[in-house]
Amino acid sequence: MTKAEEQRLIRKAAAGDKAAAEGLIRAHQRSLYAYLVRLTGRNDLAEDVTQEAFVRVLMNLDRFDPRFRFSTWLFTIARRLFLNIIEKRKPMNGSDSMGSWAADDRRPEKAVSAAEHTIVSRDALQVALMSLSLDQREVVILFHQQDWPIWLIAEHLQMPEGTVKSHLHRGRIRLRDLLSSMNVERNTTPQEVWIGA
Amino acid sequence: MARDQRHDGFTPQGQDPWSRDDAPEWRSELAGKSSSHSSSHEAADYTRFGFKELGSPDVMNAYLDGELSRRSPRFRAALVGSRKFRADLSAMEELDAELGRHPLGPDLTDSIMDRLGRSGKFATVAPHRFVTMGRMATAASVLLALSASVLVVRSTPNLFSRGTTPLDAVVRGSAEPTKIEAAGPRVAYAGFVPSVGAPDQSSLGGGVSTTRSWPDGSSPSLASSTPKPSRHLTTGSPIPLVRGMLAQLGRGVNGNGTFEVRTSGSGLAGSFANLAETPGNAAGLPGVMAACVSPEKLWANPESRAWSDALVVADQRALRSPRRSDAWSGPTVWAIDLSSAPGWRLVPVDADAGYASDGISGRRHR
Repeated sequence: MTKAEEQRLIRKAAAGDKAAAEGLIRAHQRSLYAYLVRLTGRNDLAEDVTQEAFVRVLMNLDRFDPRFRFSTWLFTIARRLFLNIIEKRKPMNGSDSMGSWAADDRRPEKAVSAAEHTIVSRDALQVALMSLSLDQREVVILFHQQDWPIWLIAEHLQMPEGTVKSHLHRGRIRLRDLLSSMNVERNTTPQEVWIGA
Repeated sequence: MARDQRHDGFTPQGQDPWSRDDAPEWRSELAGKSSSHSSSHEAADYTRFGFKELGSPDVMNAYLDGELSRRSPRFRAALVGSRKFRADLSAMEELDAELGRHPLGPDLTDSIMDRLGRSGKFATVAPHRFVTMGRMATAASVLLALSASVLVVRSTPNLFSRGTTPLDAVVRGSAEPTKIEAAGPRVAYAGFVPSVGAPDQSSLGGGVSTTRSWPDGSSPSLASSTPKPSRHLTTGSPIPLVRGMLAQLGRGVNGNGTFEVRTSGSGLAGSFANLAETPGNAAGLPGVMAACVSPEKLWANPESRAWSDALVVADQRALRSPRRSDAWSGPTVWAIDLSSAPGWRLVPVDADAGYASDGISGRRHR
C-alpha cells in the first residue's frame, strides 16, 4: 500500500466508510500484532491490545494528522495501551533492573500472578527478548522486526537517537549472549519468563 | 533479510515513505543486500561513531544500524581480519532474520469491526437503511390498511356483519323498479331487520334479536319470533316511496348492520329530506325507528319489543308511538322480508290485522 492509498483510505474511513476501515485494519494488523506479540510475549494480550488500538484509532480518525504516518500513530496508541496494562499489573515502575528480573524465580509477585504473566510463546528468541528491559526490547523489535529507522524510533519513544542506539546495541549483545547460552542449554526445561517491565 | 523488502504496510513507490528531509540516510545494506552507500557517507559515519579498531562492536553496530556499508573498507577489514567478527556477524544476521519474521496471528478485522459497529462507528449503512425503510413501509402499510378498513366500514358499516349484504342488496334493489312489482299506497316509514338466514326464518319475521333502542330510550329484550304465515295485501305500488326510504335507510346503517330511521318531519318527504340533510341528528327526534321489528309480534304485542328479521315499512304514527297500541292502528305497514335469501319480498302488513296479505317479491343483487 502506498502512502497515497493509505491517505485515501483514512479519509474514506474518517467519513464512515466501513470498507476503508477494514482496509486499514488488514494493512496494519499483522505488523502491529507481530510487534505486540514480541513486546508482550503473550498472544492473547497481543490480540487484545491490537483490537483495542484499532478501535481507538478508528474511532478517532478525525483527529489524525495526515502529516504523520498512520502506522506510527497506531503503534503509539498500542504502546500506551500496553504500558497501561503493565502499570496495572506490576508493583514497581519499569526499569532495566526489572528487566533483569525476567527469569528470576525469586520474584515476589510470581506466586500471585504467575498465570497472568507467563509467556505463551516459549521460543528461544522470545525468551531472550523478554529478558531485555522494556526499552531495549521495544527498540530491538521496532528496528529489526518493523524496520523502523533510528530517528523514527527515537520520536516514537520520545528519547534521543543516541539513547535509542545505546538500547539497540545493548539489546543486541544481550540477545546474542542469551541465545548462545540457550543453545548450550537447549535441553533444559522450558523457562518461565515474565513480562519484563 | 534486506530491510527494504520487509513489510511495513507500504510498498515504496518512487518516494521512500520513511524518508525525512533532515534525517540522515539510515538505509544501507545488511548482509546480502546490494550496496548503494556512498563512500563519503561511510567516512562521515566512521568519524561520527569513532570506531576504535577493526572488528570492534562499534563496527558491527554501525553495520547493523545501517550506517556502514558491507563494502566499506572498515567492514571488509573487520570481516577478513577477525574470526570473532565473522562469528558475531553470522549470529547477528541470524538474529535479525529471526526478529524480522512476523508471528502469524488471527485475522482480527471482523472482531474489530464488530466492536466499532457496536459503538455506532462504521455500522453497516445499507442494512440499516433497508431495515428502516422496511419498518417504515410496514408501518405505512398497516396505517393504510387500517385507514382503508375504517373507510370501508364507515362507508359500508354492515360489511362485516351478517345483515349488511341484505340491506345493501335491498337498497340496490329498491333503485331498480323492475325488481319491485307491486306496491301499497300508504307507506310512510321503513325499518330493517338485517339478520337474514336465521334458522327459523321462513317468512316475514325472524328469530334474531338486536339491541337497538326504542324511541323512548329503553332497550328491547332479546326475543325470538315465531314465524307466521303472511297475508299479503294487494294494494297499489309503493315503489317510489320505498325506493326513497330504502335509499335513506342505507345512510342510516350503523356499525351493527342495523339501522335507524331518524326523522323529525311530519311528512314523508320532509322526514327523509331532513334525515339526509342532518345525518346523525338523532337526539330528540320523535320518530326514531328501531330496526329488526317483527311485524307479527309488533302488531300483536307492541309492548314485547320483539325484533326480528325484516324491513318494516311502517306508518309514521306507529313509529312515533310504538308502545301505544293505538299507534299501530294506522295505515298499511310494509315489510321487506329478507328471510327468503337470496331473494327478498316487500310485504305490506296490515296493522289492524297484524298480518301482511300479499307480498312483492324481488331478487337481491349480489
